[in-house]
Amino acid sequence: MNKEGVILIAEDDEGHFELIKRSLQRAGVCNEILRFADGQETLDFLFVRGDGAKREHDKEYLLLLDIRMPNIDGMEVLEKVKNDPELKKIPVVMLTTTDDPRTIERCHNLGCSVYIVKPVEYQDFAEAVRRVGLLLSVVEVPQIDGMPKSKGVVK
Amino acid sequence: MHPDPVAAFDLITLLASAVGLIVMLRGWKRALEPKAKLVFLGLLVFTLCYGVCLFVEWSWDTRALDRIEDVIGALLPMWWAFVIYAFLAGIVEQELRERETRFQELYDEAPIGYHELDTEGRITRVNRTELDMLGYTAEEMLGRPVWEFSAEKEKSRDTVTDKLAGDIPPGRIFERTLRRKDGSTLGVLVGIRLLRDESGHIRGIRSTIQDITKRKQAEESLAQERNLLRTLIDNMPDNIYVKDTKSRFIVANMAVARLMGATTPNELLGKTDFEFYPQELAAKYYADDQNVIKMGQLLVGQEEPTVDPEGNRKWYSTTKAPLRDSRGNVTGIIGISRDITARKRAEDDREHLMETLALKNEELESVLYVTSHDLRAPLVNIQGFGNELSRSCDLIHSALKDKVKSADMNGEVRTVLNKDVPEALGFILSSATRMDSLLSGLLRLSRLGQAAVHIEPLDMNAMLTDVTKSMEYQVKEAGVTVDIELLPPSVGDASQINQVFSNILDNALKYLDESQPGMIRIYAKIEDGQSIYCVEDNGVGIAGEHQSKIFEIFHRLEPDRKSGEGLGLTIVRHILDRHNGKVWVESEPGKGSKFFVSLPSV
Repeated sequence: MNKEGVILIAEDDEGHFELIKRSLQRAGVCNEILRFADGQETLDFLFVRGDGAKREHDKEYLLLLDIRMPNIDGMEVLEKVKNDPELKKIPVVMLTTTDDPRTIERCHNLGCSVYIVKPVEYQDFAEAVRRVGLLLSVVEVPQIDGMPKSKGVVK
Repeated sequence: MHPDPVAAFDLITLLASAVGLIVMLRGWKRALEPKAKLVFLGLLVFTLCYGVCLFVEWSWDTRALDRIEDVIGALLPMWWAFVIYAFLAGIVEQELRERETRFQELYDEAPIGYHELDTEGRITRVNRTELDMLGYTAEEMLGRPVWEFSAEKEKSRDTVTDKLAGDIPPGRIFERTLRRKDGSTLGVLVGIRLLRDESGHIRGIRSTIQDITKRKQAEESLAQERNLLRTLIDNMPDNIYVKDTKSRFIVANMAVARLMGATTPNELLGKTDFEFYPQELAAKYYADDQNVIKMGQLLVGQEEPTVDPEGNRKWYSTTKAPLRDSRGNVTGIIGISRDITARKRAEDDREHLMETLALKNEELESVLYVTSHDLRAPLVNIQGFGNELSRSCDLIHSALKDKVKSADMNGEVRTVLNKDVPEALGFILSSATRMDSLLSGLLRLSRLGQAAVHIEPLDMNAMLTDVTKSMEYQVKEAGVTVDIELLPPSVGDASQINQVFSNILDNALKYLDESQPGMIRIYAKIEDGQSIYCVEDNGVGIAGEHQSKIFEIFHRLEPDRKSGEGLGLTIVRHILDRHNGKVWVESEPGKGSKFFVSLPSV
């Protein structure tokens, strides 16, 4: 992922978002970060609808998705994204409080790339997010509507 | 003595007289008429005289008595005539005697009683059958008025009087009750006929007595039985009915009548269900009846709906059996049906209750599940920002340390920065951690309620070996000997039952008595279709007052000393509840504990 890649964080809890953002930055990720407060906002952005910010065709995206959100929950967002022939190329990282094995299995079946449980222990949390950062530095993020780009390196 | 033709003649006469005497003697024995007896005495005297004469003549060899002999001799033909008469009379008499005996035998041994009365109604003759019937001797009955032996004296006397007066036509038979000698009564049929002498005058009455007690008893007991049956049928709360092959009622009880809206069971007789029930129901009952009749087979406990006269919907459990005649042909059906409306209603209620309960339970589980999740979200913030704060504090601390001399810093601020804030943050963070572990415990428990149970046969020896193997490290660390005896199999969910024994063993290892080497023994027995397993340890034991609490959620015996969420045994109980199993403990402080687990053995 190169520096132009945008990290989308769907997170209804402002505190969580702040913690995630800080951890990512501390892990050295300095990409642009966009926050959506619920599933609807996220979908509007991705499917280029509504009045808010909209996805741009030539940009790379990575989605961090919480599950328990008002209106449309993360699971539904994941399903819609993965059912769309274009959007399904976006890597999705589930970052949520739910550690129910069945939920985890469902997310994997729907096609999420990584599933991370938000640990309460701060160190663990930071570690988990750091790993996401690391992940971002090694995964090949395809450009939507275009040819895949070469492996991006963060830093 | 020389041979003398006269003497020889005399001798023959004497012999003939003797023969006549013997013949007469036999006649005597048969009690001849008095006239014949006189003749006999005369003959006796004649024979004796004759004999004496002969004796005298022979003894003294004289003929002096010849004249007397002549006189006697002149009488000889007449004597012979007597002898012949006596002989013939004897034969006639014997024949009469025999006939009389035969008659008497018949009379006495007749299967019915006989008695004869004189014109005063007194008994002149009675046979043995009647004597046996009444228990009297002949002497006790003869000469007494016949009505003295009746239980209805007046009636009996009137009948006798009327009969003697000729007011009762011949051939009539009366039912009477007689009284026995022992006081008991006897039902009889009495037939009476008049006795007349040769000239046609009424001489008395002869009666035949027929014992009808048995017949009366049979009739009575039949009537009683019928009454009993009828009372039983009528008072049965169940419907009882008999129908013919065309499904017409032959018998019905009150319950049937009430259900069908009739006032009495008789109203139903000869009618069919079609005249009482809605067409659809009647057709169904008719089809069932006909099926039983055609197949000749029982219909047992069929639960079927019906409606009572008020239109209320009811449920009945009906049994129908084919009714057969003595040759085995089906002549109809007999039906019994019981009102099970209340039971049905209770079943429905129960089902409804179970549904509600299941729903409530589901609701509870989901509340628990959602709550534990949503409660974790704020905790993430508390922890996260707590750490952010302590990080900020560290930054401030190091920044101040470098740039400001310690002396310049207010002592109070220093205390706050060095001690108060880190301490406060420490409490906040550890509480959040604790809260998180409680929540994840709750979550695990609620997940257990949602997990499906796959019941299968379990090889418990293999399972317990697995469980101990997975805990090998702790077992070795604690220096504990684990002894598993031969265990009977049981049925349950493999992973959940594994969890049960893991938790119990984990507990045993956690609460060892450090003063002695740890010993854990696992054994079992089968009781009432349940396999009962026991995990026995020689650890610290549990005081009586704690024993019931150890299965409660979050209950921990030594929260400060031992790690854990206080959920292990709660989970054990929860799992066993879902397996129709049980868990209980027997323990004494200082002597160790026995944890029992019962599971269905098949």
